[in-house]
Amino acid sequence: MMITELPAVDLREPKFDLFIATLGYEERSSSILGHVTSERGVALGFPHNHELSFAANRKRFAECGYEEVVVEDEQAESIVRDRLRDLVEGRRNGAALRVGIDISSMTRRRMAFVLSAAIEAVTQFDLQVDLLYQLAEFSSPLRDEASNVHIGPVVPELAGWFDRPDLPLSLILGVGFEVGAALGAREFLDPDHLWIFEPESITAQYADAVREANLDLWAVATGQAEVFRYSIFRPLEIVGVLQNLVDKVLERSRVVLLPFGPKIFSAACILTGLQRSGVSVWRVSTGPLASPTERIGSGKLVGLRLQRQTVRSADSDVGFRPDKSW
Amino acid sequence: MDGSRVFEVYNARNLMPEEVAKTFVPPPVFDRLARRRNALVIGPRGSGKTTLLKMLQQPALECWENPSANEFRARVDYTAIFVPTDVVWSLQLQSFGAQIEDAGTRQLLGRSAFTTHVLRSVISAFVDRTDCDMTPRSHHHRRVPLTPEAEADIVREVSSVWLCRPRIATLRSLRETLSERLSDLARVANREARLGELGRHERLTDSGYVDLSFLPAARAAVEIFESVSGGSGHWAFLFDELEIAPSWIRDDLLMLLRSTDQKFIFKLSLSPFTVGLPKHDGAEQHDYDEIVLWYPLKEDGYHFSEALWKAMTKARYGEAIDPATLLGHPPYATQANEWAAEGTAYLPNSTVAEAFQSLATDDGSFREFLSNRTIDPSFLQEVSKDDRAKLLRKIAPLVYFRREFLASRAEAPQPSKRKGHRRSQRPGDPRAVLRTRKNATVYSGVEAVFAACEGNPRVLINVIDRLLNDYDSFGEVTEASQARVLRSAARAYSALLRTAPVPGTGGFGLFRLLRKIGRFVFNEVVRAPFNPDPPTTFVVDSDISSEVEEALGVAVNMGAIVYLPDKDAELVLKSLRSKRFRLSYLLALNFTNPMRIGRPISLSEILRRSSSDDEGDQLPIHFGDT
Repeated sequence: MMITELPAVDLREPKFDLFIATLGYEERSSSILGHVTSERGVALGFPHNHELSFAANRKRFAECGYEEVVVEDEQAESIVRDRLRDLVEGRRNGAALRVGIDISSMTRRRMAFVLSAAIEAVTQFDLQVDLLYQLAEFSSPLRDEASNVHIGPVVPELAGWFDRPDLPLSLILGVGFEVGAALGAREFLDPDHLWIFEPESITAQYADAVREANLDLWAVATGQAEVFRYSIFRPLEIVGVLQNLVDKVLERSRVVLLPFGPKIFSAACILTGLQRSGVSVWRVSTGPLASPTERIGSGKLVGLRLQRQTVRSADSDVGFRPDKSW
Repeated sequence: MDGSRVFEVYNARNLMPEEVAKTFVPPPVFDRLARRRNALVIGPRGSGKTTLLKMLQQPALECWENPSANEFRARVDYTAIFVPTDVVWSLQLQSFGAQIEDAGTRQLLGRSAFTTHVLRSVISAFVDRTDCDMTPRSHHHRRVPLTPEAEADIVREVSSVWLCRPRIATLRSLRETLSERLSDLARVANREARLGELGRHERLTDSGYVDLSFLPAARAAVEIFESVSGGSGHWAFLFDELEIAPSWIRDDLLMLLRSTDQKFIFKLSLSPFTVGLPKHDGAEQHDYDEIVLWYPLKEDGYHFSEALWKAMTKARYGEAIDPATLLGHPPYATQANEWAAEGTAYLPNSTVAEAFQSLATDDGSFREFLSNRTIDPSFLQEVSKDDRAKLLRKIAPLVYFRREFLASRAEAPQPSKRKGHRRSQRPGDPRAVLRTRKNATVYSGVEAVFAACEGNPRVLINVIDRLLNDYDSFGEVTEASQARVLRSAARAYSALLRTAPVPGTGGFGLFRLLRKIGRFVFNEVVRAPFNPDPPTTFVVDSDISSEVEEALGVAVNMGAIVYLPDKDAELVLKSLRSKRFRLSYLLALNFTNPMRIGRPISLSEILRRSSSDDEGDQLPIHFGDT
């Protein structure tokens, strides 16, 4: 499978045969409809947190003719798999098929299930899957007081498996503006080695909020962790840097990826974990107790394209070295 | 890694045994642990369980330089097999084969992975025993020379029993083969998920090793080893962090504590509270030792903390430094030159007397308290010796603490002229004006620093390292510096507590619960009318819901609350009901609590009385379950 970055022309007015959106409480989950066109659409909804912009989103998806499917995260994989299979079976005259998936409002757990189905489809069928991420307008972070109910692998399939459990542990941590969360995760896992991925932002507000939310982490990690700053507008670079780092670190330690912050970084981690059985991808979650926070879409899109590997282009793609066959 | 830098690594899990030994300071309980007896080491996170177990390993004992090292090397007359684990491995084991529908098959493969991991550790112990490992060490401990031919014999025979085929007949190659088996198990799990139940029995029979159990397999290997090498003796399995192990592993291993095996002894480590723990009363019947690694009383942890401080300063500077030289003492620890046979410490210009006078000036309730006992704060030396011992000495730390955080009349802002917004200036009134103390002196000084660290090696090493960094940079360790380092440690600890998952969805946060307790204590000690014996500990009573109890279970395992057992009380907790606890002293900085044990109060009473106007939340006290 090959990953490339969505070119600007495809981001201006993306057109799809099938678009898989998220029906949630964030405004941006339906505002993306103003930027894409699609023959068919599926809105994958959550069975809880029907507040904030949920009702408005539901109405908008209905008006656009989207099929609404409300499921738990673990059912999302089979829904996506079935819809992709239907699309392929309905293909006429060998036409190229293009699928879009909006990951912006997905939980990391749902994203793992959906990407698993997408990767499977891309490697089996001749189709192209575009992962879209819409940057949100800045809003002040809220400190969530609910307890975590889960800290561990995003899904069991991303637990990873190490044949040397006695090797040191390396943590690759993505930070966001979840106050204290990255520090807490670092303290919980207590790794031997730490790498931090920090998002750059086009707004000083966001950058300041991320710095502020992680002040204690910087105090602990200064001199002990290597920091990579990434731009969400260069998602392929994120994937490339991340995977090169993972491959290097895997030679001498176990690896856990734990992404806080922008979902595009989470997607990069999940894609990496799905392709390397020796990598574990984790999440921290308060589950349904999480305080819903509104996120208004900015209209700025970035994306990654997944397609079957044909001829490798050295400049624009990230080649996988999968150690399991798809 | 040299001795000074190794203190930068706060978790013994990340260190080789030799590195652990370089800086090991034996706590008093190490003596009991070293005995050739089954043992259960109980303590919260960071209390040193892993360090103690690793110190029983041969490489650690061989590298250990300490006045008592030779004595321990003689006492440890067995070979320790340390089986490493951590939360990542444990969750992988629990997730292993997740896509296989049949739970029995998942568990079979999970057990096989665990067995393989244990057998790998057995081979590591063999490697340590023999001259195969060329690392030079200061003292040899239970070494047996092994020729290449003898090694090959051992490897061939063990491989036959363990159903594996190393590429070459060396112990290291055999260990590598077991790593490959772990990879192979993942392949088997994927295959079984794909193929389903049909033909599974035959397929798994073909992979015969999945039915191996670690104990008989290890016994066979040890017998082969001893037969070929000529060595003999006992072996000890060291299983760490059982609280994170899958229950089907944990329960089996705990049963081994009752074992009277002639060849193997078992030393396990566990957090204080474990849900679903099987009944075990072996300790009462002397089948094994229970070794506790926390200090209900802060004084009990002082000696160990001081020893660790001195070890660290010696490693850093070449000589051990008295901690009081750099840290001083907290204000409530009256200096030696102020004590004298006839009560010099209470003369009007003494530290104690000034504190009493100051608080009496600003705090009407304290003034009233003294007056009711006909004590004049200006003439404390006239109080009888008996009353000074019983009362004044007891309340002095409270006086300091209260004075630290109540504003004086001079400091208090004028009452607001807005109607209905008058602010009370009477201490003892919940609306009393409080003083914000960024660098509270009550949290500085060697006694306070050590108390905050709870004798917890991980916290101690972190804090001491940072204090010594300040000393290196500035030539001193000021009160402000001590407060800053402790506050930073408290914040990191709080972040950890906020992250730790709490089972169930009670709709509240663990940290919120701890904060309620902390605020209650603060109110009782500072805001409320002066009380010579304020409640600072709590009992988990029957009105507390099971969800709150579960959250408290996480808290006790993380060290956020400290169990205060009665004499002869059970040490491994299956239930927290009727048990008494205090907040960790590290959290005292977060909640502005004194570091002292006061009388207990029921937790449900705390939750009923705690203020919720700034949080808008209520904790479930009683859900109808008992």
